[in-house]
This record gives sequence, C-alpha cells and structure tokens, in this order.
Amino acid sequence: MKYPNFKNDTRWHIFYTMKKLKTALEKPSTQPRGREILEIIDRNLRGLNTDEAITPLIEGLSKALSVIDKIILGINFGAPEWPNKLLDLYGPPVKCYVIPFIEEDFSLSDIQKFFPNWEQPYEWYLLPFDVEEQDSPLNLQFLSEHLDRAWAMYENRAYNRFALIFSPALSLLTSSYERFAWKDLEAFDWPEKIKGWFALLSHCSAENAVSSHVWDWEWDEIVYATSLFLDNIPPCQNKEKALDIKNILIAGSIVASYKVYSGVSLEELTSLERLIAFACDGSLFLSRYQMS
Amino acid sequence: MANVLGSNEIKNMLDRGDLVVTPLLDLNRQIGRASLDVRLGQDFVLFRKGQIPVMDVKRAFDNTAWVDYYDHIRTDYGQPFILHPGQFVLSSTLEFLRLPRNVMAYVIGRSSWGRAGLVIATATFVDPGFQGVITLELVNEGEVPLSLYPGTRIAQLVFHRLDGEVQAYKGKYAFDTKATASKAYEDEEVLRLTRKRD
Repeated sequence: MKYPNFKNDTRWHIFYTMKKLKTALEKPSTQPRGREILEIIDRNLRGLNTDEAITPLIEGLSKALSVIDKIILGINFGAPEWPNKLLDLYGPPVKCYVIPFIEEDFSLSDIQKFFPNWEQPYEWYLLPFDVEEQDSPLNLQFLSEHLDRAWAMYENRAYNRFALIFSPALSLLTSSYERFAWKDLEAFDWPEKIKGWFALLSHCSAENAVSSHVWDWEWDEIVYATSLFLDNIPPCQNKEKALDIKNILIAGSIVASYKVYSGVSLEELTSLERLIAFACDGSLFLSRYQMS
Repeated sequence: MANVLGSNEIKNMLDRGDLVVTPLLDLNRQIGRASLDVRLGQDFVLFRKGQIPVMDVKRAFDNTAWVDYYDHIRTDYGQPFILHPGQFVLSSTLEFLRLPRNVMAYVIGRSSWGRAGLVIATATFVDPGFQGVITLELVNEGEVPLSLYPGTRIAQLVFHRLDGEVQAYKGKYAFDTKATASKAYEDEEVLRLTRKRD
C-alpha cells in the first residue's frame, strides 16, 4: 500500500499495522517465538499514537512500517521448522528466527534507526526464507546457508563453516561428486553397498576436493547412523549416547542420495525423510533428558 | 501365560538388535519383570468437533474431508498436554519400535496412570515385525484434567513369542513416526460397502 500524503497516511499505515498485529496476536496458531517478536513490535508501536510522536520520525518511518508489515506477514504465514531448529542447536548465541517475506537478514534492533525509543529485551536476528524452498532435513544446502549467514551476522565477517561441515552431504545431494575426496572414506566400516558406491565416486573427486581430514567429522557415528537408516531404523542413539544431529543429517543425506542413485520410489524417500526427522527429534529428546 | 517374554529375554532381544526401541531413555527404569515401559510422545491428534457433524468414511472420497476431522498439536520438551475429563486424543509412543517377526506385543496402560483415570489404548495389539511408533488412544475417564508430559512412562509392552516367523507387518500404519489418525476409509470392505450405496 502506498501512502503519498505523509501525515494522514502514516496514521493510516500505523492504524493498519496495529490491526494486523492484533489479529496475529489473537491467532492461537501463532508460534511462541513469533508471538514474542509481535509483542515487542506491538509495545513499541503503541508509543506512536500521537502527532508529537510521529512528526519527528518522518524520515524512514514508512519504510520501517513496511518492514514491520512484512515481519507480521511472515509470522502469520508460519516459520519453517528445520532452519529454525538448526539455528537453535548450532546458531550464534542470539535469538534467531527464519520467516518468509522479509527481504534480507537483519537484526531487529536495526529498527531503532527509525524509532529512537525502540526497546527490546533481547537481540533478534531475522533471516528470510523463500516459500518455494523445501523445509526438509534433506535440504542441507539451504540449512547450512542459514547457519552460515546467522554466524556471519554475529561475527561480522564471512562465514562458511557449515558449508564445510555438510560438504560430504552437499556433494552428494547436488551431484557435485568432484567436490569431496570419496577415496578417503573407503577405510571406514560402511555397509557394503555404500562402500561400493563411494568406490565408484572416488574416481570423480577433483584434485582440490575437500579431504576428510580438513574437519573433525565423527565418521564412526556417521557410518553407524548410515547403517541404521539403510535398515529403516531412526538412529537416535548409540547405546546411551545421543547422536549428534549434524551426523544424523549427513548420514540421512548419504542414504537418501544413495537411494536416489539406486532409483528407489518416492514413497521410500518420503519414509526416509520421516525417519531422519524422527531420529533428530529422538536424539534431541534423549540429550535434554540426560542433561535434566 | 506361556510364551510371555521375561526381562532377560527382552534384554537379549535388545542386545542382539532383534528388538529395536529408540530413543531408549533409561532401560533399567523401563524394563519390568515381563514388560517394557514406553513413553508418551510429543504429538497429539484431536478431533475438530465444532466443524464436523459426523465422522463418515464415505466423506473420505471427497479427498480432503477425512483430514478435516483432526487438529495436530506438538508439545515442546517439558510442556504438558492437558487432557480434560471425557476428552479423547491420539498420541504415540516416544519410541520407534521394530519387533522381530516371531514376536507380537500388547500395549497395556500403567496402573499409576489408570488410577488417575487415564485409559491408554483401546486397540492394543502390535503385529509381529511391526516397525514404527505405536499410536495410543488416550481417554481421560477421571473427573479432573490431567497434565500429560511427553517422555512420561505411560504404557507397557508385554511381548509374546509366536511358534514361528510370519511376514512382517506392512499395513497402513507401518513406518509411522508420529500419532496417525484413523485410516479406516482405506479398508477394502469400506470401499465396497460405500460404493454399493451409490
């Protein structure tokens, strides 16, 4: 919506934004995290009810309100499960929220430029999510990008550690086999069919491929999880130890890629995706239980 | 009863990997003399009573009608689901199970919860070779609301050995990883019976 006549139109803009906020806050399905952000916005916008409050803020107010409109729209639409789950586990020590419709990564406190009296109890990083992206534990490219971007915001420098951590899986999922040194993995105790497949892939590895030694991958755990996935069992734990979710995701991607390579049905792939999700949730539940 | 498996045999099956129960939070606390406790999962399926006049399998042929009967709720770790007197919900075991092809199980409510008015399961038979979570049909028959915390030991499995192996269960609830609403509309006789009426 355009507001060419600032003073009156800004009042309308605030009015409609407040209305959208109220509706979103009254929806029982609004997720707790989204509700927390909406409540921060609501508290701060309530201070804009008078002319005196609006007039000094002419510059950029309309733009800030449009950003807020998109946040409300994104929270109303619903946040994707997997990027938010992984940011909780492996993201920077800041509250992060991935939602659709916002256009770029930003910290909520950036809005302070437009609202000098803006107050919020914690820092929030908001990251955009393209609604056409698949919200799946198998979409590791997308998940690692979110993690790296959140860390880049936090450290204020380029960050690509998660692209590296998930590189074996990314190489398979994107069929860029040359990116990883598959021959390095032949020594591990993989199930026979995976071992045979890696032997075939090893001929594809480029000279500058990522070696299995450049990161401290827990290959034993990944191999173990891979064997269970092939047996249609979710690998939540090895004896009493909860498996690391990163390893579950890598193993799940290896098996999914192998299944795609072997030409399995989509139904089997769907079933595997569900097992990966279950294994992650089960492992998380176990580790929380053990820590409590 | 003959062929009910005792704790040693249950442990042996787990050690050998013939019986899979995962995540297993605390085996020592979960294993009984002739049973294995299972825990409440995090997902709940409840009826959307205000919108649907009657549960009719024939409506399933309208594609989306059957799913319209249900709401799905997922509780976070440490957050309870409140089950009100007379309320019926579906949930599932926290654990994913795989039974050997020569062992079946019965799901039985734990008496501690029964004394509070909670009925755990009405369809209690788990097929040999079953793989997945077990859907629990929970009803609060008591007079006060009950807080149900995911991870609570809520039911127990009693295992029976068969006199031989059978084909593994591959029915419509195999490989479920969360509580699954009824798929009665997929039953062959339902298709036939409702078609005749047309």
